[in-house]
Amino acid sequence: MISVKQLNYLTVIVIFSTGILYLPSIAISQAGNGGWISPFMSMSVGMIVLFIVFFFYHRFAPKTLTEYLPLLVGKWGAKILGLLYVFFFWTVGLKVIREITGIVRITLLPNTPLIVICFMIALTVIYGVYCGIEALARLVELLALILPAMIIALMAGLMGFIHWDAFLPLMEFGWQGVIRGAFMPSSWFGEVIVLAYLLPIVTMNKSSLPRFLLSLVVTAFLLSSLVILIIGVLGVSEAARIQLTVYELMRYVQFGAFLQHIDALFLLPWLMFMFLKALLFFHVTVIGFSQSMGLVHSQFTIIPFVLLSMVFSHWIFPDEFTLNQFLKIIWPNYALFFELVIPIVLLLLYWTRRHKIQSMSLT
Amino acid sequence: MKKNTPYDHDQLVTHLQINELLIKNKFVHCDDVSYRWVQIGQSQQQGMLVFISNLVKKDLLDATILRELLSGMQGDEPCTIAQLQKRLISASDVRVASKITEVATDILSGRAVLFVDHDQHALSIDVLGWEHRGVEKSENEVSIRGSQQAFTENLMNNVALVRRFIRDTRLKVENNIIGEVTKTPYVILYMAGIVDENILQQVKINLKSSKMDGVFDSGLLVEKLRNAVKTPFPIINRTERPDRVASLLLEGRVIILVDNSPVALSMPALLVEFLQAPEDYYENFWLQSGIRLLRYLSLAMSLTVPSLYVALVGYHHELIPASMMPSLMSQREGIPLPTMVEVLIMEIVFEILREAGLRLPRPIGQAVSIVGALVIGQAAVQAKLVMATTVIVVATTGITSFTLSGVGIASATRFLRFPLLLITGFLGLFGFTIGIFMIMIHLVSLRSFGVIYTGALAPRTWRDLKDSLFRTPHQNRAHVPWRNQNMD
Repeated sequence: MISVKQLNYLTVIVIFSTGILYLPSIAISQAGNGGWISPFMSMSVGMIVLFIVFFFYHRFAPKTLTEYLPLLVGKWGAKILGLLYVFFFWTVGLKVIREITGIVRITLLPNTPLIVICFMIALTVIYGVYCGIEALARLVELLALILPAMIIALMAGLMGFIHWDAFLPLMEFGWQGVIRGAFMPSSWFGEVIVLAYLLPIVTMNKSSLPRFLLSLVVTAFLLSSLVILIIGVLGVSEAARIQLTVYELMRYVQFGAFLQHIDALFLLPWLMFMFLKALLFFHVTVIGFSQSMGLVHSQFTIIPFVLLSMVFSHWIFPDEFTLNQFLKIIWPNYALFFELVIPIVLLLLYWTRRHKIQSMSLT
Repeated sequence: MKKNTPYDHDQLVTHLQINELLIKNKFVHCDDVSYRWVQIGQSQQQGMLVFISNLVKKDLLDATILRELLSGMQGDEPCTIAQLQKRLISASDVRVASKITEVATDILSGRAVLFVDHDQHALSIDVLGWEHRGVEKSENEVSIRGSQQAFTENLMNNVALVRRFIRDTRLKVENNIIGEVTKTPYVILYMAGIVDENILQQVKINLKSSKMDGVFDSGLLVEKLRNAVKTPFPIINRTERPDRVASLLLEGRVIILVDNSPVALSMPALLVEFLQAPEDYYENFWLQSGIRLLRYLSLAMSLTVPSLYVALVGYHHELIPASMMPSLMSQREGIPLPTMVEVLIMEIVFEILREAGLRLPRPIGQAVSIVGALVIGQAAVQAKLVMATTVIVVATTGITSFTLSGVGIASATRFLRFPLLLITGFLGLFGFTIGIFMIMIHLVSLRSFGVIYTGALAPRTWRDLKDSLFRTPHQNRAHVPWRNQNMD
C-alpha cells in the first residue's frame, strides 16, 4: 500500500520535474514580468481535475477509472475510452523519456548517439516498473526532501544576481498576459488525472483531499519561485528567448570561489525526478492496459510499451526543435483533452444518468 | 508379506548379544567407539556401555555410571532399565531409548548408552565433555564500551550467554536438527509476545523445507532462509556478540544459533541496523548521533567516490574547482590509461591486497600491506603509471568501507562499486545517475521476511528517525519502527 504522504510528494515531483522545462519560458513570453503569477493560475486546472477524480473516487471507491468507465459509457465505450487513456499515459511516458534524452544530450553528453541514451533510460524504466509501484512511492519519499534543498540552494547561490527592478512595473502585460501564460502549462497540473488509477491503492483518510490540494499549491509555489529567479537573473527578454531556461539558471550558481559551474549537481536529482515521472506513467499505462484487457500477469507488457516508446520518440521528434514546437503548440491541447475535457464530460454523463448508475453499482 | 512380520528392523531386542551385534553392525570401521562390559552388582546380569571415548568426559562416566553399576543394587535379582534409571544412575540428563538409529545418533553426539540383558530398552546418559574454546573477546565486531564476550563454537554455551543477558521466561529456546548427514543441532531464539508470529512461522517453514546434506556454519542457512530473494544486500543480519543478540531479541527479531558456528543470525534485518553499533547506545547520544551520520556518509562514499571521481576527471572538468585544475592536469600528463581503466585496475588491486591480507598468516600479512602501500601506492605514482589522486581516491574508498565494520552491508557496496564504476566510465554523470537510481529503486523494493528493508528511512515518520539517522536519548525510543508496519 502507498501512503497519502508518498502520493503527495509524488504529485509535486510529477508536475514540477517536467514543468520547469517549458513553463518558465512560456509563462514569461506571454506574461512578461508577471510570469510568476501564471503557475497559480494553471494550478486551478489541476484543482478542477482533482475535484473530479475525488468525486468519482467517493462514488466508486475501490475502482480505478478504467474499472468504473463501463458504468458511465457502457461496455464498448469503456473499452475504447480505457484504451485511449492507456494511449495517453503511454504518450506522456514517451514524452518524458524524450525530454530526458534531450536534456542529457544538451547538458551532459553532447556527442553520444540519442539511441544509446534512450536505451539506458528504457532499461531503467523497465527495471523500475518490475520493482513495483510501492517501490516507486518509497523512492519518492526518500528523494522528496532533495527538491526543496535544490530550490534553496538555487536561491542562495543566485541571491546576488537578482535585479529586483525587473519586476517593475508590476505585471507589465496585464492580467490577459498572465492568463495566456497560464493556459499551456496547465496541462502539467492536469496530470493529476493519474490519481484516478492510484487512489484505490492508497490508504486514505478524511483529510486526504485538502492535502492533495495543498501539494498542488506547493508545486505552484515552487514553480513560481523559479520563475521569479529566472526573471530576476536572466531578465524577461532573455528568458523568453532561450531554451532550457532552468539549466541556464543553474549555470549561474556559485558559492565562493571554490564551487563554480555546479550545474551538473543540480541535474543529478532533477534527472532522477524525471525518471520517477516516466516510471509513474509507464506504471499507470500497464495498470490501465491490464485492466481494460482483463490481464492478470501484466508486468511483462512494460517491455513492448517502453521499447515502442523508444522507437516512436525518435520517429516523431528527430530533433530538439520539433520537440519544442510540438510541446508548446500541440501538446497542451492534446493533454488537456484527456485531463480536463473527458473528465468533465464524464461528470455530466454521471449527472444525467446518476439514478441508473447508482442502482447498477449497487448490484 | 511385510504385514505378517511383527519384527521391526530398527527395534532393539531383549538379548544383549544380539543388541551388541546390531550396534556393531551400525558402527563398522568406527574404531573410536568403545564397548565396556560390566556385571551389575552381585547379580549375574550383564551390561554393556557404548560411547565414543573422545567425546565423553571420562571421570564423569566413571563416577556416575561405572562405579554405581559395579556396586549394584541390593539383592541379586536382574534389574530393568527403568529401575536402573530410577535408583542407580546418578546423572541428571538421562532418557530411555528403544530404536537403533536413535541410539546411534545419541552415541555420535557424545552420550553414553547403557544396554542390559533381558531388556529391550537402552539408557542414554549425558556425559558430554569434549574440548572447546572458552569465551573470548570479540575480534570481528570490536567495541570499546560494553560487554566484550563473543560467541564460541559451543551451541549450548552460546544459548547460556544470551540467557545471562535476558533473565525472562518469555525468551524461548527451540532445539532442532538440520542436515541429512551431519544432523547439526540449531536453536531458534525469540521473545514470546514481542516477536511477530508470521515471521517466526516463515523462518521455521524455510528451514524445514530446506534439504541439505551438511551444515557447517550458520552462513549456509542464510541462502535457505532468504528464500530466493536476489540481492547483494544482506537481508539477514549476523553478529557474534551476545549483547547485540539480546538487544535484537528485545526488538522482536528471530535469532538462529547453529552448533559449531560462533555467528548468530538475526531476522528480519533492516538497512538502518547495519549502520548501528553497540556503543551508540552506551555512550553519549550527541556524539553518537554525529558518528552515526558519519557512517551514513561512509556508506554513500564507499559506493560512489570512485565513480564520481571518474565522472569528474573523465567527463565534467567544469565541476572541478579552477584552482585544482593545473595540478590535476600535470598529473594526468604521461599517464597511459584512461581514468576509468586506471581506477578499475587500482580497485581490483586493492581488493586483491585485502583478500591476500585476510588469508595470509598474520606475520606475512603485514609484509603484504607494506608491499601494497609502498609498491602499489608510492612507486606506481612515481613511475607515472597512475595518478596520485587515483591512489588517494581508492584508499579513501577502502577506508570508508572499513567503517561499516564486519557486517554484510560493506560487501554489498564493495560489489556494487564496480558496475557503477563501469556505467559511469561509459556514460559520465548520466550513467552515474542511472546506476544510483537503479540501486535505490532496488533497495526500496526489498523486503526481509515481509518487512520493508528501508523501513524507518523510506516509509518514515519522525519517530522512526530517532533511532535510524540519529540516536536520541533512551526515554524517547520505546518503540520498534518496523513492528507498526503493515505486513502483506
